[in-house]
Amino acid sequence: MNEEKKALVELMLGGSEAAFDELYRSSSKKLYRMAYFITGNRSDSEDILQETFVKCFLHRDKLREPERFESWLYQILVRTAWRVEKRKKSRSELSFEGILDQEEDHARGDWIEEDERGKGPLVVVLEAETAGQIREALRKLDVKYRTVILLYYYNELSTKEIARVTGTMEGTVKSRLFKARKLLKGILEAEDNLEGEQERGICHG
Amino acid sequence: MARTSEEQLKRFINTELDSITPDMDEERRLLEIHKKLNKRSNFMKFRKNKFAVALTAILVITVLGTVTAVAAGKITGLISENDKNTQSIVELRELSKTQMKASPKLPDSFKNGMAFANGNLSKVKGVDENNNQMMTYSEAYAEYGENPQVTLTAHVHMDEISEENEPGQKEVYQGVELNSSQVQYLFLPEGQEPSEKDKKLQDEGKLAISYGSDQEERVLFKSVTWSENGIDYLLFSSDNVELNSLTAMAKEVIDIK
Repeated sequence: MNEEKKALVELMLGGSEAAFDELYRSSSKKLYRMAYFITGNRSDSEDILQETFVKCFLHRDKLREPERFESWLYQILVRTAWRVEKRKKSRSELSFEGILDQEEDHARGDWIEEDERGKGPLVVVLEAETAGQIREALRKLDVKYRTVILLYYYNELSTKEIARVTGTMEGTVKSRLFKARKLLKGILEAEDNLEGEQERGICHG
Repeated sequence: MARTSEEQLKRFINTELDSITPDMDEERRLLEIHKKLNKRSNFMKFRKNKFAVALTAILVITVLGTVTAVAAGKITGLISENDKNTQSIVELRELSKTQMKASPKLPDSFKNGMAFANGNLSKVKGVDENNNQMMTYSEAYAEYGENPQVTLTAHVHMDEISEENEPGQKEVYQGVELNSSQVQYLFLPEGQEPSEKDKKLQDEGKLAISYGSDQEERVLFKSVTWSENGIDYLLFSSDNVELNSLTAMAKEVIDIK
């Protein structure tokens, strides 16, 4: 965070509405896009964005370190978005937490560290013929997986920072990232197979 | 089949998201955010103190329906910003003198044993529906008893926010008219619809509904208001304090010379 922004955050923490307005203007587009990535819905994204900034100002006394403003804002947005998504889902929703807590996934989550050092495993994990396939695959992911993907690739946060933003253990973040990639791969492969079968069907039909 | 690397996925997500433009204009949204802040700050400012929260809600609701039009618009909400609390009644009196330019009667304690617990001097802004600031004034808050149980507020009388009293009992004491009343309040989270039964009670004037709380809550507020020497006073409680006890406490304040 540059000094100018830090000064604005400090003014906002002191109650300055003008500083709050400036901070809003400099980050609202990015936050709207984040909300959209999580929810896939424009109306929900608008509500989430407004609620995020309302909470930001009302709870500003909770932010102790101005340098952490951005990740704190992400934290409010992500949790607000999750609440909206939770409300929308039926009570019979499958708990992904349970799946992710499996020891095997935690162990395999360590692969993420390898990913950070090199580019190896992801090349295997992600294969897509078109952008449309990736888009569709991302949409099919559960909200918590999508969030981790978002924070990792779009916001470029480390797994440690993602853990803070999402209020989870770093190991869980790694597991989710691993699992998200695995699910993406599965979705993409299934689509490839389906397309292949359709093509064969057309040839032989 | 093209191989999608980590970098490709990152580029894809960035390209996808950067192409998304919100439907709502940025400045119009900011206005909406400020409206919500105004509405909810009344609750949030004093979240730790139910009585002060309640007081603010009462004032907003009262003002909403009763203030007269001023200048270019109409005051539709009050936003209070308080400085740090003080545990010293002497300090609160001094603050009142310098910032309110008045000396409201703020007792050390009441005969029933309730002593001053803490207080603050708030800056209250009156805003119109577009969040334009129409006026400001200072208000003293003093809380008494354990938890605390009773709150006394005082501000210099202003015609712009002259409040209609809730229907209740009137009594004249030492030439001062006291208005005492009790109102059942229902606090609801933003966006939650009241039940048909509650709507009916509201229509009948038996229930006041206010929005912005974390959860549904029903509170019976008892209050006494009076005006003396150009200062408007409000004494209120949602605790187990009877209305006649509150009236007796108000009379003690009036008795202070």
